[in-house]
Amino acid sequence: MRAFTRRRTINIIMTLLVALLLIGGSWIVSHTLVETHFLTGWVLLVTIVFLAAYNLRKAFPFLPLGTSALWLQSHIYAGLLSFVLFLIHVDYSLPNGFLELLLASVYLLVFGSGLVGLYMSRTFPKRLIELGDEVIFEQIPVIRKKIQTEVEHSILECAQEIHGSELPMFYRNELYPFIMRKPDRWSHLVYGHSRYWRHLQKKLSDAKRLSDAKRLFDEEELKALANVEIQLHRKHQLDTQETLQSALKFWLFIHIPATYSLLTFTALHVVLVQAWSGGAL
Amino acid sequence: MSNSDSPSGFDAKNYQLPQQDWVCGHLADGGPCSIGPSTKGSCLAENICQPQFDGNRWHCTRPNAWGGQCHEGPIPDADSPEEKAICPHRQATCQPARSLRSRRKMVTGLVFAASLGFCLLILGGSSETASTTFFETTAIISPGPLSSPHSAIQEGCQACHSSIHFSPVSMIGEVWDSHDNKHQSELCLNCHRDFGEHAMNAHNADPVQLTKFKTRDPEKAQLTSDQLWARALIGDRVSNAEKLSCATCHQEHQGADFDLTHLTNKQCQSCHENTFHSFSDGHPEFETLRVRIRFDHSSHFGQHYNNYPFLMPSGIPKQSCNECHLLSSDGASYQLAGFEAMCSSCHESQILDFQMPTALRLDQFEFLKSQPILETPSAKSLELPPFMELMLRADEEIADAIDSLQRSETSGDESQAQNVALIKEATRSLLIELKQQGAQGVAHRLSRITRGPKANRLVTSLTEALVQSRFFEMLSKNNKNMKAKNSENSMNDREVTIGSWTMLSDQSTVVYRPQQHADPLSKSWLDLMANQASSHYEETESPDHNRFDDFFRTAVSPEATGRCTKCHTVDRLLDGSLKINWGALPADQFRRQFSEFVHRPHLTLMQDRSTSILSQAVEEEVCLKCHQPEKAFLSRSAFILPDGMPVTDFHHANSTGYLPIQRRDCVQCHQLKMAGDNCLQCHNYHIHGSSVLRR
Repeated sequence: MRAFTRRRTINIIMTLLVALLLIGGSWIVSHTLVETHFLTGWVLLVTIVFLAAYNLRKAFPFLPLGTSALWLQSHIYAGLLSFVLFLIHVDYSLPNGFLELLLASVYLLVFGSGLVGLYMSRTFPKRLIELGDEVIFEQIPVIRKKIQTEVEHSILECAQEIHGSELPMFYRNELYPFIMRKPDRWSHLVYGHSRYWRHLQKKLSDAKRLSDAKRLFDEEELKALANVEIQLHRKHQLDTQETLQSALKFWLFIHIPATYSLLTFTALHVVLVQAWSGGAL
Repeated sequence: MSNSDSPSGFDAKNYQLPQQDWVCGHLADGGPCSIGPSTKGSCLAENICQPQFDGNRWHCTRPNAWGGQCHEGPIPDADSPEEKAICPHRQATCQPARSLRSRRKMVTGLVFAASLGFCLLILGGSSETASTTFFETTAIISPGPLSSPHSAIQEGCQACHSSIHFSPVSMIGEVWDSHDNKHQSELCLNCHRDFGEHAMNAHNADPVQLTKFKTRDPEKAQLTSDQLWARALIGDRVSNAEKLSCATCHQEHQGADFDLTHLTNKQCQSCHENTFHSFSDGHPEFETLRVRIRFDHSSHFGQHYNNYPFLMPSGIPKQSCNECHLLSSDGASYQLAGFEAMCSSCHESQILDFQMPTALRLDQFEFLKSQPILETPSAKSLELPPFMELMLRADEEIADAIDSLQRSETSGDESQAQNVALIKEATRSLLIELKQQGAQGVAHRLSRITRGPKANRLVTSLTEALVQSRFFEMLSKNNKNMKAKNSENSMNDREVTIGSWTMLSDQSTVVYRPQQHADPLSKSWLDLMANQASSHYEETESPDHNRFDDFFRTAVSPEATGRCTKCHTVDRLLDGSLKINWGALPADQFRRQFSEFVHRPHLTLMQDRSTSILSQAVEEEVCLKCHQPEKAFLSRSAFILPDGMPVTDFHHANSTGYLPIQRRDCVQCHQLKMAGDNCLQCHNYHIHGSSVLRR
C-alpha cells in the first residue's frame, strides 16, 4: 500500500509538472507569431495516438512492449495530460465550427468515458469483493437460473409435504416477480441495492410476523421460506454483481468506438487545417 | 474446482473464454449447452453426435472433447430402427448470440466506418473538382464565422482558399507541405492590392534592403528574457522566414467582432533581433524628425523675425504656430499652409534673383562665332554650360573630346585644337538640330546618356518643361529678327526675352530666369540630375566620370539659382537613388507610414477642456509641451555637407530647430494600464513604400 501511494504521488507530481510545462510553453509560444494551435495540435495528436495504442498493445500481448500495468499507468496519466493539451488547443473555450465542435465533443466523450472507467475500475472491484462470491460475468444467467431452480425446488418440496400450504401462492405472487426481474441497474450502481429488494424484504418480514401469529405459515414452511430467502439474497447480490460488472465492461462500448471515431475525425481535422491554413507558421 | 464445488457455478471444463465471438443462444436463459457454437456462429447441438449403424447396432460417435462415447448409446427410431437413431444427449438447437467482446468490436467497426465515411464525404465535398463534389460541405468544415469585413465576400471559400481547388489526395499531401503554401496569401492580395511587389516580405520591404536591417550575428542580438525563451522553443522560423503569409498574423474565422489586425507587443517583437520589455522599458528613443521642407524654427523665431525690418523689409513675420501649421480634416496631422502663406514675403525675391548663376545658362556661345580660334582653350576656359555639355555628350566622340580637354592641364597642343574644332562643329550641329527637331532632339540626345528605369519619364518631363518655357522658340528665332522686333518683355536694349528665356545682347548667351516658386523647368532639371547622379554613380563607380553628379552638386550648392535645396531636403532612397522632396507631404502621403501620430486626441487632452478652439496662447503652450525649441543659431553645419552635397543622412542633426520628441513625455500616459502601450497604437506593419523603411 505504501508503495502504491508513493507511486501514485510521484506520477501525479510528474503529470502536474508536465502540465505546467505545457501551459508555460504554450504561453510563451502564444506571444510569438508561431501559431500555437499547430504546436499543441501536433502534440495532442501524438498523445492521442499513444493513448489509442494501448488498445493495440492489448491485441499483441506477446510483443515485448512493456507490462500491461505500465501501459495502463501511462494511459491514465497521458490521458489526463491530453485534457490539458486539449484545453490549451481550444483556447479554453468551445470551438465555433461544426467539425471542430464535433471533434471536441468526441474527444470529451472519450476523455469523459475514460474518467468514468478509471473511477469504476478503482472503486467497483472493492464493492464486488464485499459482495462475497467471485462471479464470472458470462456465467451470471446460469447462476440466476440455478437460484431460481433451487427456490422453486424448495417451494415444491414444501408444498408436497404440507397440504394446503400458502407458500406456493406466496412465491407466485411475491417472490417470482423478483426472481425474474432484471436488475435495477441505477439503484445497484448508486446505492448498492434495489428498492425492489427492500420491498421484498418487507414482504418476507410481514410474512414472518403473520406466521408468528399463526396466521400464515407454520414452522416447516418458515424453514423453507428461510432457505428461499437465502437464495433471494444471493439473487440480489447477483444483480449487484451483474450491474457492476456490466458497467465495468460497457463503458468500453463508448470509450473504444469513440476513440476510433476521434482518430478518424482528427485525421480529417489535420488534413483540412494543414491544407487550408494558408501558410501560417 | 469443479462446477459443483464452485460457489458461483464455475465450470472449469466448459469455461466461456471472453475472446470467443459467439455464445450459446440459451445462455441468456441460464441454460447454455456444453458444446457452444462454432467460431462462425452456427449451433453445434445437432452435431454433437452422428450415430453410425454398422448393420447390427447403432454406435455413439460423440467426440472425446465433448465427453466421448456415452454409456447409453443412440436410441433407434421406432418406425425405422435401421435407418435412423437419436442421440439421447442431443440438446435443443439455438440461435447463437454474439459475445460481449464481439458486440463491442461490431459497434466499434460500425462507428469507425461511419466516421470514415463522413470524413471521406467531407474531403470529397470540400474539393471543387466536379467528380468528387458530393454535397456542400463549407458549412461543416468552416471553423467559425468570418470577421465583419470579410463576411461580405460573396464568392465563397474559393475567394480566399486555394486549397478548394485541390483533389482529396493532393489535399492530404498538403499536410506535409502546407507551410510553403503561399497561394492563399496571393488570393488575399487580389483584394488587398496596395502592399507593393514585396507584399509577403516583412513590412513589405525589399528583400535586399530588409537584409541590411537584420543582425546576422546572433551574438549581437539583444533579446529580452521572454524572447530568449520563445526563440529557444520556436527557433528562428519567424525571424528568418523569407516569406510571411498573411495568415501568420491574421487568423480568420474567429467571429464577426474579432480584430484581425490585433497583435501583442511580444508578437511584434518575435521577429526582431533587438527587443525590449515595453514602451516605457527599453523602447528606443525617438529619432530626429526628418522633415521634407527644412525650416529652422529657432533661428526664425529667435533671430530672423526680430531683425526682419533690416533683412527683409517686405517680410511678414509669423506670430503663432497655426499661421503655418493647419490641422488636417481628420485631425491626424498638421499640414503646411504653403509657400505663398509662409515663405514668399521674405524668400520669393531670392528665387527670382537674376544675378544668381543658373544651372541652365547656355552661356559661352562664342563657340558659335565663325572666327578662328586663336588660342586653344584649356579646361578652365572651356566651361560648357551643363545642359549644353549633356547635349554634346550624346555623341561619344564629342564626349571623349570634352573629357580630353577637361583633363588637360596645358593648352595649345595640336590634339586639343582638334578637339576644340570638333566641339565647335558639334555645337553648331547641335543648335541646328535643336532648331529643327525641338523637344524631340533634346529627348533623343538625353536618352543616349541617361540610365535607369526613371530616366525616360524624367527626360520627358524636362522636354515638356522646355517647350512650356518657350526655349525652342528662342532658339529658332533669327538673331537679327530677334534683336529687331521679336522682343517680349524687353528689359533693356541689350536683351531679348521670350517666355522665361533671355538672350543677351551679344547673342552669345541664352539665360533662363525662373518666373516663380516651384518653377517647372528647374524642378524637372534637378530631378533628372538627382536621379542620374545616383544611377551613373552605381555604373561607373567613379565620381570623376559622373558629370550628372558634378552638375547636381553645383545645382544644390548654396550659391545655385533659387537655392532650391536650401529648404527642399534630398532623400537617398533605399535603392540608392536621390530624390528631392518638393512637397511638404510625400507623394505617397496616403499610404501608411511606419509610425503614426494622431494629433487631435492629444491636443484635446492637453488643452483646457473648457476651450473648444485653441487660442493662440493655449495652442503655443500645448505645442511647446512636446516640441521644445533648441538653441538658435544662424548657420547650421548640418545644412550642407563639406563636399557640397545636401544632407541625405536620415540620422543627421535636426533641421527644424526643435529638439526631438522625448519618449518620456509619451510614457507619462502610454503605459499598459493607462493609455495603452501596444506597438500598433503608433506603428503600422504594412508600410509598403520603398522610401519609408529608413535606417
